[in-house]
Amino acid sequence: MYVAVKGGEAAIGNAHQLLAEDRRGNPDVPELSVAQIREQMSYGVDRVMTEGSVYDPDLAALALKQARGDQVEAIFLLRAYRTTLPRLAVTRPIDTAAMQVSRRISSCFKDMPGGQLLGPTFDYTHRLLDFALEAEGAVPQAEGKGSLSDSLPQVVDLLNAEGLIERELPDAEDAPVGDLTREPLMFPAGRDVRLQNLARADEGYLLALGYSTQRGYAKSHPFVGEIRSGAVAVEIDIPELGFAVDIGDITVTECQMINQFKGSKTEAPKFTRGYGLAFGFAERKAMAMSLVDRALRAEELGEDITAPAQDAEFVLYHADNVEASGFVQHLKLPHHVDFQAELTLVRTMRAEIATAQAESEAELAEAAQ
Amino acid sequence: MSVQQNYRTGATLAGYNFAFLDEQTKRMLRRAILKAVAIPGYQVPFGSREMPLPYGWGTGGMQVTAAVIGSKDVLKVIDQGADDTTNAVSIRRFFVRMTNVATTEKTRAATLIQTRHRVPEIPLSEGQILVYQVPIPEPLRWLEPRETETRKMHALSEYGVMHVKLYEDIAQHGHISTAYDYPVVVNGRYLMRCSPIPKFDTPKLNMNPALQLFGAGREKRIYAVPPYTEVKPLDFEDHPFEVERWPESCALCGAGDSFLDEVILDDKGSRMFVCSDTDYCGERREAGHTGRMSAPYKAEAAE
Amino acid sequence: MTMQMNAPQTPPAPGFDDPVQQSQQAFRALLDAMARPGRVVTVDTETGHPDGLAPALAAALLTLADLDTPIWLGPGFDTDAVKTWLRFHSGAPLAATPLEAAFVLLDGAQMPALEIFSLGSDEAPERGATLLVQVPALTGAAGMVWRGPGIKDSIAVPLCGLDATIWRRRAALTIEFPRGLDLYLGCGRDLLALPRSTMISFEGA
Repeated sequence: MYVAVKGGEAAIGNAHQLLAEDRRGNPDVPELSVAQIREQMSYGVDRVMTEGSVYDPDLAALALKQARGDQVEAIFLLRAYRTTLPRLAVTRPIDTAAMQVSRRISSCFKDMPGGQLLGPTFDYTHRLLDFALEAEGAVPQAEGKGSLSDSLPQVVDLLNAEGLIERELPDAEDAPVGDLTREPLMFPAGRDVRLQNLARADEGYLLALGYSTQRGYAKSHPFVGEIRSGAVAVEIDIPELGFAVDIGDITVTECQMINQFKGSKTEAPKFTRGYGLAFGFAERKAMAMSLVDRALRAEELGEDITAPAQDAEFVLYHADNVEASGFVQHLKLPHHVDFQAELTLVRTMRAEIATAQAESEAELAEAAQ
Repeated sequence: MSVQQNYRTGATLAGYNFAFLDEQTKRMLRRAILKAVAIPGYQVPFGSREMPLPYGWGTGGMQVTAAVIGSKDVLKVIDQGADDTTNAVSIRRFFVRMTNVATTEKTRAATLIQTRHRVPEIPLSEGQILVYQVPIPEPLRWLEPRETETRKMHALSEYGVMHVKLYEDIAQHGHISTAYDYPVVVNGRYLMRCSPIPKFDTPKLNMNPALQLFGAGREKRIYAVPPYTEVKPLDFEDHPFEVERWPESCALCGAGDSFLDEVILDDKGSRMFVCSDTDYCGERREAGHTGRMSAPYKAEAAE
Repeated sequence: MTMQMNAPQTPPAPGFDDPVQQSQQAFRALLDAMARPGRVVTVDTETGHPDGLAPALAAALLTLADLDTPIWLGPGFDTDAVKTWLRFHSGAPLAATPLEAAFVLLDGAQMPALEIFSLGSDEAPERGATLLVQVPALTGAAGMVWRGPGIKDSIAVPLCGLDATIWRRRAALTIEFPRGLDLYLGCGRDLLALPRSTMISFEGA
């Protein structure tokens, strides 16, 4: 009997075996270890952690290995694992002003209290393939590792003294914070939920949207107030002890983007902020996120909503690459029932048109005689 | 034996809870399902979780099934009407690994059926639950992409745009050009999308004795049609709702009343039509029914 | 589960022995009841419960209530025994006002006005509360006829020991649909459901 798209158990089993063999590649080439990926593909690991919403470099490296380097697939693996984890506690907000900074720059001021630190960046490298890396074994050593004080004021806060920038005051300690991993996205979405959505959002998508705001799709005049990367402490409150306990450090990249605001009838012109935060060294992501965050504040700031990046429903509903990848790729599942239904309809409609044409031609022929 | 019992009783995949989801997630889903049943056709938002299968591949249906399923259930999973399509196999395997429930390909033997794109041909009975995998739950989505707007339209029962759309179809094509995912009104109140089942299956939702649950994982909505509930396709007096028909009958079992898949046999346009519902087709062939291409089976069955 | 620093003097009554399987069984009974209004369903899983609370309703709370569902305890159930049991097994917070409650536990003999509970909104009707009402009986002479989704034609339902005014007030809420309240009436191990979609009539009963 003919069986359409019916492979069943055997076909799936074979596919999984082929996948495993292909993933390993040529067995004459040594296998990658998870530790090698974690140490030497760390930016890839950082992205998987950020969009996978789990800070665990080992798990992210494992996911990348299993996914053969496919970032979105690795992010999906990490997310699906995350779902099964119990929630043990909620941390206190991290204090990025107390960061142990490895990199800190601002484009607004030539110098600033605490100083700037270029840190490990691709920025001023000439993008020439380094064929020396083809040889293995060399261990580069950096001299002149700079360091800054581990308690640096946020550059944007320096503008506070003159009231030149909007103040962002923390919510009350017990104010509710949305969590998209437990509640569906609903509108209007608060900034807490928007930022969570953007932090989990696909980097390429944010990059394109952020870019569009610089090209006139939203009136954006951004300046990098500050970008800083480094280690911050994570603390949890232990009610029984009555104080917070440091449970370890994580590395994050934070971007505060400054945007001009023309002011309104009630408010004087000032600067406003867009905010970006990502795990690890993920500067492109944090910058793009801060541009989109600012664009999404259009309604709150009384600006006209004219551009895609300002449209919260559009931006937030399509930001998640696990959702997007799944739905785009589901098109390869069998759809022959729907297609058959369409086929039947189109045939019926074509037949009716053909009949109608034949009738009208016959009428014309009759009339001509 | 139509029901496959899995003998590793009690043992599900190490490290995972029964039916994969943690209990708090199940409670959240169960509350949403009960509200969905209480408000037929209304889409209840829920905190959809990432499942180990991709969004768009049945995660909503799987979450509903995971919230409902118990060790006494007998599970059937179909995709395009068939139990042995790859995604149906994959989802069934997932639930066997995670719950060890018995599975079946027999519609009549199942207590719980998860489906994509079809309603079984064999009528369902009281006590059965049919779980639909839904890609886009919002019936107005192609007409109004904004959730904030469609939510208002449902609140106000403002479904004029859908009537206009169908009317424009008729004006342009002489037909309502919706072949699947045909819009229906549930219990005279909510406009609902029946997931992309063919129009052929739409009437089966009406006054069905079984409970019908719909899960959209990526879109984070659950909705329901309780048993014996009116489900009415939108239509016009002069253009009443009609289902598609085939000039042919099933080449294997001869059925003239089932949804047929078209199978292309060669590059000269030869084709055959076979039942999309493999259980229905098999049951008919077992009972001795034959079609024009069921030669070997026919010979046996006829004598 | 939240750990209490100052444990109560009396230990809480037991709940489910096997929460995973038993809550699933109880949920299926609750789902079956909600899908078939007026039909009596037995919750046949063993359930611990505080004295005076019907096991069917105790099972409903153990199955559905948690940290995310504020509960309002009506007169008769506003006791330490019920509160301790509920907190221990579900962690559900007590609602500050009836309007905030997702679940409401009521004694049928001391029913407040139904309108004090959330009916949800037209845009979010699912926020209408679920009322768990303990009644003296689910059987007796038919007092009403119910129609609607889940009911084939119609079903005759007794007044279940509730005052007729309660039924009339519930019947009057029908015009609010999709806003509304969903009720479970429980007695012993049995319960029946009355979702907001059900139409109640008194004639012909």
